[in-house]
Amino acid sequence: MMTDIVYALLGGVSVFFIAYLLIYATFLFISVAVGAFKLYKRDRMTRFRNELKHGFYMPITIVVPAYNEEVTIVDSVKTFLTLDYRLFEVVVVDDGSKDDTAAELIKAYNLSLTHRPVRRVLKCQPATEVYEAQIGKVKLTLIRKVNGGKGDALNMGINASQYPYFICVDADSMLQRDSLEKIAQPVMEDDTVVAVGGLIRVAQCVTFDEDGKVSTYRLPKNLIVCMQVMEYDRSFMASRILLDLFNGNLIVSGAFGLFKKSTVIAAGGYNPATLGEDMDLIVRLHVYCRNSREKYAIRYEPNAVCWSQAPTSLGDLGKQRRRWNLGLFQCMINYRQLFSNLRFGMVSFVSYMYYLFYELLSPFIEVFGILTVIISSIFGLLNTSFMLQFFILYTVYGAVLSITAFYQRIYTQNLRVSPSDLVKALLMCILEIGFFRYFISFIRVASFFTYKKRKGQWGSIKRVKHDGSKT
Amino acid sequence: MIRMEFIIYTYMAACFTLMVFNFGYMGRSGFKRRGDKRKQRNWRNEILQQTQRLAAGEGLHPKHTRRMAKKLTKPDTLIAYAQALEEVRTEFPEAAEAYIYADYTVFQELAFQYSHRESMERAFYADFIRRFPPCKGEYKQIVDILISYMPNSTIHCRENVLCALYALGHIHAVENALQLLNDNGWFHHQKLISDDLAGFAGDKAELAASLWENYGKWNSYLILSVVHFITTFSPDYKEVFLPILQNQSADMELRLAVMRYYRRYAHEPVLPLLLDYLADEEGDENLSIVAAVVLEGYPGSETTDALIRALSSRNWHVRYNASSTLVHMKTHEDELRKVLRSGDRYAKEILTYRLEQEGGLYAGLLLEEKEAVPV
Repeated sequence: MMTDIVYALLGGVSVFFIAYLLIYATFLFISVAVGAFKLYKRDRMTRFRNELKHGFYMPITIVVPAYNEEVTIVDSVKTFLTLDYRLFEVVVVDDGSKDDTAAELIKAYNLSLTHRPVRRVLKCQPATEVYEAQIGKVKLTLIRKVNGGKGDALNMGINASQYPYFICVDADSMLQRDSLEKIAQPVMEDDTVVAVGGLIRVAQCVTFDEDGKVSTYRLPKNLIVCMQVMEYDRSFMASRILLDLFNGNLIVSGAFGLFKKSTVIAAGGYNPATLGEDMDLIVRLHVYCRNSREKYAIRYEPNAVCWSQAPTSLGDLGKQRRRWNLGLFQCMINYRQLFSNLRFGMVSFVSYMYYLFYELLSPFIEVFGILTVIISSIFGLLNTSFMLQFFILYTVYGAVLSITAFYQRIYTQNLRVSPSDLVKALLMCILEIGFFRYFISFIRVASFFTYKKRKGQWGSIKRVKHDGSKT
Repeated sequence: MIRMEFIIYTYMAACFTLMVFNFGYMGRSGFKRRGDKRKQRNWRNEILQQTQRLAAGEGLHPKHTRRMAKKLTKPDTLIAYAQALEEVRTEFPEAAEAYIYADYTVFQELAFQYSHRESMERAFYADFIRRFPPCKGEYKQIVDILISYMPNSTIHCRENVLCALYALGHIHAVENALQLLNDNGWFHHQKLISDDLAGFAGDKAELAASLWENYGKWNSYLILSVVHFITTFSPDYKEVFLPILQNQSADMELRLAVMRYYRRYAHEPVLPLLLDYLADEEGDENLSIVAAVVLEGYPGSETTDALIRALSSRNWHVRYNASSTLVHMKTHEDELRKVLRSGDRYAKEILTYRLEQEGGLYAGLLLEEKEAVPV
């Protein structure tokens, strides 16, 4: 009797897993295929001058929240100040750093203390000092404020911004010279656009020349960073382009995104109480625009590139992923109204479900799978050779998807890659799918056990200078 | 029942195909780049030979025009040709212009050929005409062919067509194209329209007059673009725009655009309206905000008094703009001192900041106020 129940249960479990993996494999395949087609089309469009090239798009404020970023802040701001764009300003918000973030900036750009009043449209911690300087054609503002978290700092930046659109950029990121132009183009194409996400790539791969242009591209020596390169390429090429087809992206990365200020303010700005303030804002924009029956679009622009530093050690990577996972969890809970809700259409039935079942719950499902394997083995029901074959097949499949995405990136961005890097990329894809993702799954499961204790903590990540030198 | 491995193998095979395509595309691109350079050199030599023929009073060689009509139907070849033509134009501008004009018939034939292509290639050809317009200010058939690119098209194609028409410099062609945008309700960012209109190669004043005749017929965003365009060059619409500013039911964006026009081209009869808008706390705040900026062009005691009162407005932007305008107008220190000592914290705060920004002229006043602050 007991054996029959176990047999029936395991039978049910195997059907569930087959369906689960099949849906996932199909989703990934469609994502990569659609991504490849879209990027190919983009490449042709650029070649045939199908771009809204314009002398002057719209004025933009770059908001840079910074917390203990003394190592990278000066270099990052330098790349922002040299962007090819007619009218923009940079607002750095020092969120109560304990290091010399503000002092480094004040010294590097000769900033002067002013009595600038900041209009508090969005709630945030108060400013303690405001510094300003005119660097060429760009106004640079530094606001020092009481610590309140990244979302709070971004709200302060929005309050201080002068222009109708703003861009949030991480303080450890560097923008390509044409990034602002590229990220502004979707707004010129469609005035219902309220947010545009850029492409995030790993900064450790590139060096910039004096003019702020990418001069070399190499896969880094650090294996952890290298595997993240593959992971970023796959996720930014694949799922985001697919979800973009039906206005279904639930994330515009906090590292680089453009927003229509009035809509963000109307939706309440960033939520300082969450670890995933970037995802929270996008989901809130979906909810706000749909509830107010406002026509809107949230776009993804793969030609707008931001180079962001990836964690270099397993410890730092763990902290980052713990934060991402808890942010995702908070977002899924806070916006549970999106679950199977017809009003939200594909956003509910594809995007939300994908993030719920294949991002948030996937590590648990994987653990559940391992337990099933153990139980099957105990009852002698395990077909070991099939299991191994299937594992290898899935790993190879994942690696093929990653490598396809990687090569796609190379040609669409006219990057030159050495033959050794091409081989390295191939190996990294296998390592990433075969091992790295299990480590990430472990981190994601573990993050829930410390949720209560650490739900408000960001965790500090060691920064390196953009030229690679450690400090 | 289909086995799962089979599905994954199928997906994997498709991915391999994609990868092979990527490699093929990368290889082909590299190969093509080299080929394009060679093509470009050949076209350059041909174009130079033709410019010499034109200089000698001969026409284009029929072999050359036949070759163009045949080869340039391929967009990749057109890229190489355009680069070669650009090179020749940089070196010999006048000879190149004469050559482009002489090419009109071929360009028109190509325009027709491209009209049957997908939107991306049509857009590319329209861009080619923008860069090398084969006629200016005359109504020729190529204009109609380009306008026919616009339906069933992308915004990029429509934008390139509009830019090509501006480069060809024919007023009614531009009007017809904008009429199409209006009638079909195709979205085209008003900033693109107004900024690009500034590149019109013909008589801008005549174009403006012709476009303005559509006020009341076209939708507001197109008219808004026309007002922005007019603002860039013409002071002749001061009387024409006045009724719009006075009309409470006119589109708000249009009224604001007209106010900005009067910032650039001051017109005394507008002053009472601007003062009313600035003082009106019950009406649309945008009018007050813009009025606070526009008044910079209308100096006088009445304006100064109104702006000083506006420093106590409950709207932050009105206060900010009023303080900026007062500073830009180089308002006398005594007037500003009154505000700084008035006890209105918000007015004082914003004015102090603006005075700091201005520095120089008001440094003494700021120092004086700093010293006057009780410890």
